[in-house]
Amino acid sequence: MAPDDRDAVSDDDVIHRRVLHRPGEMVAYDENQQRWLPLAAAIRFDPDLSVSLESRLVDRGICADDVAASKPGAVAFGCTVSTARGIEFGVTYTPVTPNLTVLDECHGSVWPVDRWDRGEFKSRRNRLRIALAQTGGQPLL
Amino acid sequence: MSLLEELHEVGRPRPTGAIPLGLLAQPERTAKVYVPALAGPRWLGEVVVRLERLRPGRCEEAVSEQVLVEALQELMRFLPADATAPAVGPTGNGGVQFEWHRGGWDVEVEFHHGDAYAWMENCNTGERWSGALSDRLDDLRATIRAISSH
Repeated sequence: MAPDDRDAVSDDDVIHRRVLHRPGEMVAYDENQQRWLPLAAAIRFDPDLSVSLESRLVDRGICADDVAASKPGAVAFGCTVSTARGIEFGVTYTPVTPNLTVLDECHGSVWPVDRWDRGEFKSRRNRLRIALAQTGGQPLL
Repeated sequence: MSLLEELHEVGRPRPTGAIPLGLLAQPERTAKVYVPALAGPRWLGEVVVRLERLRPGRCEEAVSEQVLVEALQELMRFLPADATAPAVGPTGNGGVQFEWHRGGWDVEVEFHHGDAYAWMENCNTGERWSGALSDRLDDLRATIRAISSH
């Protein structure tokens, strides 16, 4: 089992992953899915994947666009927590301590399952990569 | 020194044809104009431009010159000359990752100090394999050749 916290992060919450809009390096037009998606290189676990939790953003009066705007040239891709959990990732609320910015207070972590071998991990990460196109992905103008 | 020059330095034959080295460090849009003029593999220009972006001093998660050169050497060894250029990104642990997402296949090939690992999955059929690149070189070549024709 991956670390998971269903009390702190509900299934209907949304995770937003900030990705630099660098075509061919961090994002690409996925011919299979017929849309722009983050590349696997942008979905990096160390050991968790850093995301922002929408419920925490809303509590602070901000949104996914603010996640993207927090770094020049970035976009934010998102999916529901239930989707991530459906791929067997765990999701926890992990505010950065000490809190440096409002976004740090909204920080969440997506966790893989320890027992996944390298190939299984890549398959699960690929499913999450595709799922992250549920919301966002558009460069801010 | 550019990656192609370094490749020459370490003893690999330089691709035939005149490579406008100065242009390879320029933005991809500019370099693409010149890629058709290259006599090497059709993917080479785009890949070198993308690898150059990962050099120390050019991005937050830079990859060492040695790994970049090794990755390019490996790519020249296994990738068909008429293959579609892959996306190129850092792995986060000092390695380089190449990706293709087309023709129904999601393909990732990682290089990190002598470790070359490949993973492929067909999003339509669920067919999947992964392992050391050297173990499935022919399968990988065939798949990339097939998806490049899409």
